[in-house]
Amino acid sequence: MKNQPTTPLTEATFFILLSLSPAPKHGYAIMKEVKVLSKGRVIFSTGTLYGALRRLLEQGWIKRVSDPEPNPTDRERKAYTLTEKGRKIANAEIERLRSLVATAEQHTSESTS
Amino acid sequence: MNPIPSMTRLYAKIIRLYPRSFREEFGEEMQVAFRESAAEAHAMGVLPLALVCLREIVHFPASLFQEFRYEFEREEMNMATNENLESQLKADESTLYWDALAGVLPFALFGIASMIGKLRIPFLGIYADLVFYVIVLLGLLIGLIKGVPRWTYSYLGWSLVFAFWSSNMGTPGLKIFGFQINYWTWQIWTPFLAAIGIALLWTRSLHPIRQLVRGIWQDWILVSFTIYTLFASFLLGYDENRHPYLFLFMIASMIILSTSAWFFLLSIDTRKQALSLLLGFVLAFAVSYICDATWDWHAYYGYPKPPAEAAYVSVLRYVAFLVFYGGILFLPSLLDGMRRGSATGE
Repeated sequence: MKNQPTTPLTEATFFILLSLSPAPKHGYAIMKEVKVLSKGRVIFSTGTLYGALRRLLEQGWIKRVSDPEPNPTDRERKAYTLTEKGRKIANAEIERLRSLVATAEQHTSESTS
Repeated sequence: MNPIPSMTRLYAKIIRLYPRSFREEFGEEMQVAFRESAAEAHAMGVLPLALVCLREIVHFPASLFQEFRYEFEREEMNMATNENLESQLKADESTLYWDALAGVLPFALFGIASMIGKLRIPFLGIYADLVFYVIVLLGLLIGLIKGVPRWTYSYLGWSLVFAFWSSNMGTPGLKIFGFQINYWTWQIWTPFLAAIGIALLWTRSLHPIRQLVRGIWQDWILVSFTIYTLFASFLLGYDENRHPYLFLFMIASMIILSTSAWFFLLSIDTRKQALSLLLGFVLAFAVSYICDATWDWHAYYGYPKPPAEAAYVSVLRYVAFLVFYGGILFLPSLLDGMRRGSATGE
């Protein structure tokens, strides 16, 4: 298990963090949200999703909480939410992407004018 | 008919292939996520449901590989950080006389099987050898399932030695369960691989292999112990010679090698362990040498008598053999000592 650099994030990690930024979600809700956010580019299977969640949990970027959504079964369903560290990393990545886009836009507007 | 419950049951079976820790932590949630995902797709039609299933199937091998790799890397980290617990673990193990006895058993059994092999009864020796092989494989299997206690390395060594030794064994006319086996080649390895495979399936994880590697990483003298089984097989084999005179030497060698293995498995201190192996090796080698010196095997085989050799030449040869084979035997332990020395800056 190597020490991973915090940013840039992989697309999958970024979308998981982004999907959890407004509110905690359970596994399947994350799958659906990521599909929508990525406009269908990132579609998780259950194995790849929970593999990614496992690593994010161990890195301390997300944590488990009780599922806020009503549960049709008797079992308590687990949901995931961002930790402070995870939120900072997601924000740092958003800033990094924003800065990249700004630079690219500036560069393209200069070259067209 | 609603296919979702049966598909979820099948999915539950498939995810049992994941590493145990992953499965225990996420298995239930994965089933719930799969059931919800499949149910929602099913509500939209057969094609969306097929796409969900297809995605699971296509992603599964990579995901499985990823989790096993992650697990292995995590274990490697634990291996490095857990080395401080080594002495504690050893202290606990040292009290386990039964464990030591389990580790000694193959040494004694191989000696007995070798002696049975000297009796002039057709196939009896081969049956004794095969029974020995079955016993060491069972021992290996139990050891792997039980988390690889140190005695497992005795069974590992003996099963490797036996399989390697027997991989070109000729047994013309031998029948086992109605099958005639005239010559053994790769077939002898299949029970060995099957034992490992069963252990992996039994634990449904790579845990046994990891424990095996971890044990060696924490204590390289276990490699010396495994090599010791190879030398023990040479020292207990006494070749094709079948004269009753040799039984005395075989019994002596068996007692010496078993006793040294016993002290090795009971010892906590690495130096004492090394000393146990060294003494066993030197003494059993001496017994073999005395046997050669006192038994006229040239006459037994009908060979011409060789010219007499000066005593000091015999002694020098004995010492040279000891140094050479002792070097091979203790090389892993020496490397481990150097590794630890450089790690602690000594």
